[in-house]
Amino acid sequence: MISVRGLTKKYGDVLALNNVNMYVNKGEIYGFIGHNGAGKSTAMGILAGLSNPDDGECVVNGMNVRDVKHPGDLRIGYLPEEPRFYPWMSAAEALEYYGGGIRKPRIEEILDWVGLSGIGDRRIGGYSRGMKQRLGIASAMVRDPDLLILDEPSSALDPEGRSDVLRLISEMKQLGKTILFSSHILSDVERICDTVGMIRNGEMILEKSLEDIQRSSIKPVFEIGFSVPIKLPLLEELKKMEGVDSVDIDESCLKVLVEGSDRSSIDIMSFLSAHNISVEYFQLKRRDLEDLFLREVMVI
Amino acid sequence: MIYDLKKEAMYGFRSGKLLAIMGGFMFFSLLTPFILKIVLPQVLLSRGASTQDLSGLLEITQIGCIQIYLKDIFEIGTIIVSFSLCGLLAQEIRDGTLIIPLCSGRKYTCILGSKVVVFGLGVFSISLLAAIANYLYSGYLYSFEIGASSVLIAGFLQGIYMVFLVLCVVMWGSIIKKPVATGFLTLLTAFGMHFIGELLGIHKWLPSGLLLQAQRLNSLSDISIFKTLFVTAILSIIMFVVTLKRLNSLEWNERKAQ
Repeated sequence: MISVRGLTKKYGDVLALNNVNMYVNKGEIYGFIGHNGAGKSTAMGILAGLSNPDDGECVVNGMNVRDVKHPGDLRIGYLPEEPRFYPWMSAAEALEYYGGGIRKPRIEEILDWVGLSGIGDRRIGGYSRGMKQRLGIASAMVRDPDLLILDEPSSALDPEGRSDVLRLISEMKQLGKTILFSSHILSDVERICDTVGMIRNGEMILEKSLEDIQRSSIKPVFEIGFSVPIKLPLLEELKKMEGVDSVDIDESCLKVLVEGSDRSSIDIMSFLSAHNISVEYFQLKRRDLEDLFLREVMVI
Repeated sequence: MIYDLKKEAMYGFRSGKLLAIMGGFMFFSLLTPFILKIVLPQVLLSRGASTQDLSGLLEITQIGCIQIYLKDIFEIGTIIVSFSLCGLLAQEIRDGTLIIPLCSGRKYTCILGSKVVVFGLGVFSISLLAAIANYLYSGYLYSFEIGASSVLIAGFLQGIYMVFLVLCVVMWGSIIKKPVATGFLTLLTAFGMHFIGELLGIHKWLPSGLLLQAQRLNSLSDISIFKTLFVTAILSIIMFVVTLKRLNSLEWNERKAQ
């Protein structure tokens, strides 16, 4: 549904996007993550036809964005980072306008789906941020597009609002839609995405299916607490053990990143026992996407 | 386009912009004869002016009263329209309220066209209604000395000029993207055009010629306005095309990226 090759965008001297490649397959949820100013919104704006790339090829819904004269021709649903509506309109009127005269039952159906059915006739000016976000999702869905580009749909929402937005995105997938969405909240991405793309300073540094990331990049880590500080030579010895990837010490807690949890736990316990090291606690933690993000993206 | 027209009409009424313009025009159309006939003589007499001093004022007829209104409304009406509608497009670009409609398939031509149609029709009707109100009230206070057709023509010409101002507002709005600056630039265009017309004696080649012709209160057979109407139409089309080109070249997520 989306194919991006060598996408480059400059604003004056600032290189916002540098040779970005990304592929979003039909029917999947693609999570686009990166720190503030990494280039997520710039890339999504280009893919929505709201801005022109300086270089590279972006094919969205089978159309090259350079050849598209009007954003609406891409036939996508787009939710901007901060959706702005006409405060003097009601949600139902806004959907009627955006949809170009879609029928009332369809408007009611969409409003009901996003949880705004009882307040569809109220002016948008009185809506909370969460309600506006729901209305933004409804607006993106109003023309029933096959592809949706959602820029930070769950940001600045309370946990209940976030959960609702994630539910809506999951339901969109069940309806056969393809969704590209960006988020800062990595647990959200981990919950619903099929593929993850990470961007750092305008460059794509990782693009993998979530399954692959969990298998290859997100490794188990043992957290071991000690009553007395562990000596440095022993740490070096532990690092050299087979199956141990890295060892980090944080006050009286040791974090041992290993290749596989089964054999390593026995080996590490045997090592600690052999060196008479008393352990306060020993627990296996699975590293999540956030750990990977911090490791891969936040590296300067 | 029907949904764009509906949206603009809703905006015009709910935001109170059309009501504000209507209020401004009506206020001055009724205030002018009231001031000239009732208030001003009273004020001057209370300050000790003699009947001879007031003779000029007392000689004012309905025609003079309408001409004074038409002259004043050029300045006041231009200010009212420029600042009431300064955010018509500029505010939308600035706030990003056009992003969702654009992505939902609304076209620039329809968005812009509906703004010009709704607000153009609005200011045109208001100009015409205000001229009629001024004619009726001045006729009531003085006496009816002139046929309604001359006033209707004057209101019509003034209305066309106000439509030209609406196009001016949307064009500057698309270029400047700042509502207040758009208002000032529209004022500058209107008054600059009037000044150049006066200086070079070329009013008939400028939209400001419409207002001069309106002030003469000629009948349809006496007026020669086609050159001015033609120039106004050409300038309006140029401004519409410039606005469309400008909208097409806008980068909608520029602000965020910077």
